[in-house]
Amino acid sequence: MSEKIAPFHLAILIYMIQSGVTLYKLPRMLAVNFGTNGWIMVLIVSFIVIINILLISLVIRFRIGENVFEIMEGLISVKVMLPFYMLLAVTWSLLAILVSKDFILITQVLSLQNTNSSMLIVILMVLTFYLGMKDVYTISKATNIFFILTIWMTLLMIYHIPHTSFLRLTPFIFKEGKNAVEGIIQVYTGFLGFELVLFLFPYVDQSKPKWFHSVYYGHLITTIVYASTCFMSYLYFSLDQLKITSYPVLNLIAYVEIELIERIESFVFNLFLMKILVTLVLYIWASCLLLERAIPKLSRKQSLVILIVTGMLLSLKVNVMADVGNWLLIVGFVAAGLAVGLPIILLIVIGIRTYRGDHRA
Amino acid sequence: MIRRKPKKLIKKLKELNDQQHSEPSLELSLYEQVVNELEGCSDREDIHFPELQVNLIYFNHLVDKDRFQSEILDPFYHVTKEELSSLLKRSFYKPVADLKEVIDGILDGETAIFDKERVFLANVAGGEKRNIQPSETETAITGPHEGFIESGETNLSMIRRRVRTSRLKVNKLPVGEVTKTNAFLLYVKGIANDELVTELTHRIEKIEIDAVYDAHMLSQLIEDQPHSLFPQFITRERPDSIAAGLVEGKIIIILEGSPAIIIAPSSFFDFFETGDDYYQRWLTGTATRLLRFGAFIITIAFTALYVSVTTFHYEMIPESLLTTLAVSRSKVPFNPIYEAFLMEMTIEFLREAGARLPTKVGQTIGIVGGIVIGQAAVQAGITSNVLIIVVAISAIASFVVPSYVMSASIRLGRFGLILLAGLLGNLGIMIGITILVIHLSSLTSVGAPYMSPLSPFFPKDWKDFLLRAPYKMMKTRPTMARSSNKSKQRND
Amino acid sequence: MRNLKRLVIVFSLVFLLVGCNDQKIIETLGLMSVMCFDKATDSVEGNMLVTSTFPSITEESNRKETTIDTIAFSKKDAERKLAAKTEQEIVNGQIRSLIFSEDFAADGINQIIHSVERDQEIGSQVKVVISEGEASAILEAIPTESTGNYVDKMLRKESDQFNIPYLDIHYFSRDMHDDGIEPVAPLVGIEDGEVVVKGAALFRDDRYVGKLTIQESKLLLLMRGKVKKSDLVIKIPQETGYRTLYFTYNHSKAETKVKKKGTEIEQVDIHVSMVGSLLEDTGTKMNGNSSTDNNEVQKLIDGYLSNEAVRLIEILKEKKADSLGIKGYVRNSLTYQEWKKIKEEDLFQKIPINVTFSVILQNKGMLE
Repeated sequence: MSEKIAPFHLAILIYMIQSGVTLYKLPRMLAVNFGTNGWIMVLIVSFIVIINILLISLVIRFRIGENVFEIMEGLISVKVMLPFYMLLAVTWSLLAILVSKDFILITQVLSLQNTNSSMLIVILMVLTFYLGMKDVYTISKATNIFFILTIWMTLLMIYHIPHTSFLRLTPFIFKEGKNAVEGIIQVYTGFLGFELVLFLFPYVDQSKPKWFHSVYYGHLITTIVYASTCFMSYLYFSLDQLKITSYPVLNLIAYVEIELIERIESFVFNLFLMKILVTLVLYIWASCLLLERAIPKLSRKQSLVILIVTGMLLSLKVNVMADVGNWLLIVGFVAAGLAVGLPIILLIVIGIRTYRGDHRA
Repeated sequence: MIRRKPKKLIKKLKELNDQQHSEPSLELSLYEQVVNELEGCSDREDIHFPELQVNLIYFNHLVDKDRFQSEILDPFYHVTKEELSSLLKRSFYKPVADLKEVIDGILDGETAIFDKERVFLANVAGGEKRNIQPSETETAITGPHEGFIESGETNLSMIRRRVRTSRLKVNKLPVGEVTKTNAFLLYVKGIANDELVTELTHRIEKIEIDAVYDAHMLSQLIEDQPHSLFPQFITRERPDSIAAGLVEGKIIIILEGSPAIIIAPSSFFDFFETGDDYYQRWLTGTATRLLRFGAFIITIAFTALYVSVTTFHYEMIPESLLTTLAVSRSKVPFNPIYEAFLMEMTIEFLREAGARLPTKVGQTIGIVGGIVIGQAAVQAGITSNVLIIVVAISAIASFVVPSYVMSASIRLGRFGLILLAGLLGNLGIMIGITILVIHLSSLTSVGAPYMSPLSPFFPKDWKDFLLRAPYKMMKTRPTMARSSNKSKQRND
Repeated sequence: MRNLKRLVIVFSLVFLLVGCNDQKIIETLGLMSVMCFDKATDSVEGNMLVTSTFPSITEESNRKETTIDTIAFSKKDAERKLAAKTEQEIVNGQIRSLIFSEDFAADGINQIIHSVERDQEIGSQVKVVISEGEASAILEAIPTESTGNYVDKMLRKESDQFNIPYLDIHYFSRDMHDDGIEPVAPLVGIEDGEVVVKGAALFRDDRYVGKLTIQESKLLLLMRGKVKKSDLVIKIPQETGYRTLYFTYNHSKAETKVKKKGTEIEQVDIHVSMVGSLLEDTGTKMNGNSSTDNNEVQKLIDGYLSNEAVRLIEILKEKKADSLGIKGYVRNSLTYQEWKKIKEEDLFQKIPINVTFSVILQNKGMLE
């Protein structure tokens, strides 16, 4: 089956890869690092991300060859690239595993405190494996349904409108913040996921000339969801309260009470499993592509297992919330560097090859 | 599994079959060979016309007796020896030379006529069959009431009468090494996708199995993923639904001897549609459909939610329900998960018993199940009455799903979800739903995505999905049929 | 498809090992519905007296409320000690209200609020209530079986009618952490053995500093923002006795403006506009042609409210409780540097606050 991903679905896929459990911490991160009116930072960082996506679009427009690998290997031989591929694969799968650990740890704040967290991670990995074994078109189909099952959560914010006040917003911009640079990196990592389009584009239906716009649309959905949630948090919490609340969005959801069910956060938070799964699977999928390029003998099943196990082993000792946070910051920083660096390197390669006279595909 | 394992057996059987046909001793005439072949079939009829030197062989119960009398017996009684050859020149008598063909013809209900060395087949097939009646599994309130019966030809005629176009093509494909059941593949040329027709024909031809008795069985043999919990082809028992399918560009498979008819490709959501939706006003039709999807969600998740909430998430219960729930649970000695399994099993027992018993006894089951078990179980403190309500609601909801096959699949899936809920609470339910979504979206029906138009998202098809839009808006055929002729109404 | 089989095997292996430790099966739990905090004399056991009630189900499937108390150092300490006193597993996920006695709240309830916010099992819509006298006495006085729910419903009803401010744990924590406003809590008390809503409790940060009557708290709500529906009984002294007006209003808006002279804050203006109907007027004369004059009544109500408002602001200033959120308005009218400079000063006491009312009579019921 060689169906291609439609642009519309690419947008959803990009959104689902980008948004993850970071959303839960984002308002606090903003409050701590930027202070008053930190939600504006979401828009600013989102703009930087758009520039990053622009770089990627240039790579795809001027590409020589079918995919990223062909672009690279036209200049540098596979053997030289091999360690680089492996490193990239390991970084991304480590990032994926850390994200899943983060999710599980927050889950355990809410419920299942006495269950061994590694068991839950194993379950999550089995799910990853199950979805990861499907082809990317099927992954996109599943993502679509996950999107529909999760996007309505944004509408829960309507419930909070009577409890908000513009008074709490204050006219001050970015006052009382702590560490703006760290903050920007954290927000940037919250947007990560768009760089995977470098690997996705050969699977996308490119019959429409403007198909790449859907990447921007996907990013736009993420921005809207992030910005509106953060904005709402600033209206709903007072600044100092926001700073001490670990997962403001969880509190937001917890505040919703309907006649039939109270405390829906214990249900709604678990819906994030689906979002996390998409992020997880696509990072690992991209890692698989890299690994299989490096070692062509591997089947999808083998490479999945290798990457998941490697990621788990590398993060074996990282089991405490604070540790996971620190690791995520570092690995996220590396991944953010990759998101910026990869397209730049590719553009340079394309430049050299065009200069040498290679033909565009 | 059926396809894989018994291959050897089938091969042997095939060889055996071939042997019987290919080993005629040269000296024997065709007539004697046929008699040999049908040796031991005491229901065989053999008629001699000594003065004509003609023999007839047929099965009395496979032919239409009146027609046999008037079209075969009478002419042969009145004809003279000289006139015989001109009589046999009529196209009604089909000359054959091959033993296999003769045998197949006789088994099909034709009469074999042996005139010296020449053999003719005359088709007066008939025999007993059920009258056309309303379908029992797919009843209609508004709309036509007639349902298909077990005769392929009657079914074909009901469809032809509804789709009166020469473009309605029928491929006849025998299935089953022993039974040689006829399958008819129907499609409207110019609307249906030719590749799908070829693919399905190929799949049916590829089947190697002794026997196929029912369309549901056939559909399992030609599915994309035979191990899935969910049926990938919908079967219908009403000609109007089938005609609608044909016109949408879908392909229809009729199996001789089965009142159910396959529509391919089908999506998951087709199983939630009925003919009634289309005959009611569009608003009522839409409302009914939404009701069914609501029922689907309830039937798959309601009991699981009960288990999850009472086992792990007590804080989710609203104050007003808290007392009721705690009081009703207080006397129950089991964990909620065992309690739920017990009651779900009981309901399944009741349903299964009710389905198999004659109607009169069936009522007793209802009384025993409903009153005795329901009341007594609560009074004895084995289950909580809230659970009884929960289980009953999900059972009722499961019967709202129009397709019995799908409803059975969903009910089975529910048990998995209850187990997960009992182990991991809400996270478990979510894991279950995630697995379900991944599985469902990986399914295909002859290559068409099973979850369409939800995923992949076909906004054009949404007019006939959650909604049953007014007919003015239904201008295009569903995307999944991959029809070459997309429009079904004139665009004004 | 062999994957599926493996998947099933892996899952069943995993599931054999997980889950059961976390079960909280509903009937085995003692679901606390309310927690009361009273001050206790310092001892080795603790400094607070915590009382809680939870339902237990008797053999005959009847529900009965059990009340137990303990002395402890903190909320969680109290929960642990309460749990030791019963056979049920004490859980706090169904708590609806926290009742603090005046004495206890006067020392600050920050510690309890943070403990509740940190506890993931407790929701955000838990009500915070101050009681006149002992908090545990409230529990005894409540007639029904479900104590926490009773308090919850009573407060909800009163705050829906805008008699007392709405306050849950989130509101309290939010206003406590905000530098522009102070929390206001509902106040309950006991009269003739019955629980009665008394008015509002004023806070400065997390300390209880004073109380308002129902009439005063209604006025406070009027000045704080929108009021959807409420009523006022207005008593105006006359030559002989009082003239009583009953005014119900269904829309009121409050606008707060900060007047500045250069960078100095001159005055804060609060303008309340309300629209409503007059449903009782004891000043009506017997003879037919002297109907109630709209303008006169509007002026009467206006004057009454203005007087009351001045009195209320005096109370607030005396208690140093910025329950109106004046500081927030001031903050939002300044630059960050300016605000930082004056933030710590006794801003609220210093700034003159001027309240004006505009009352519009929409109708006068069935009589002219």
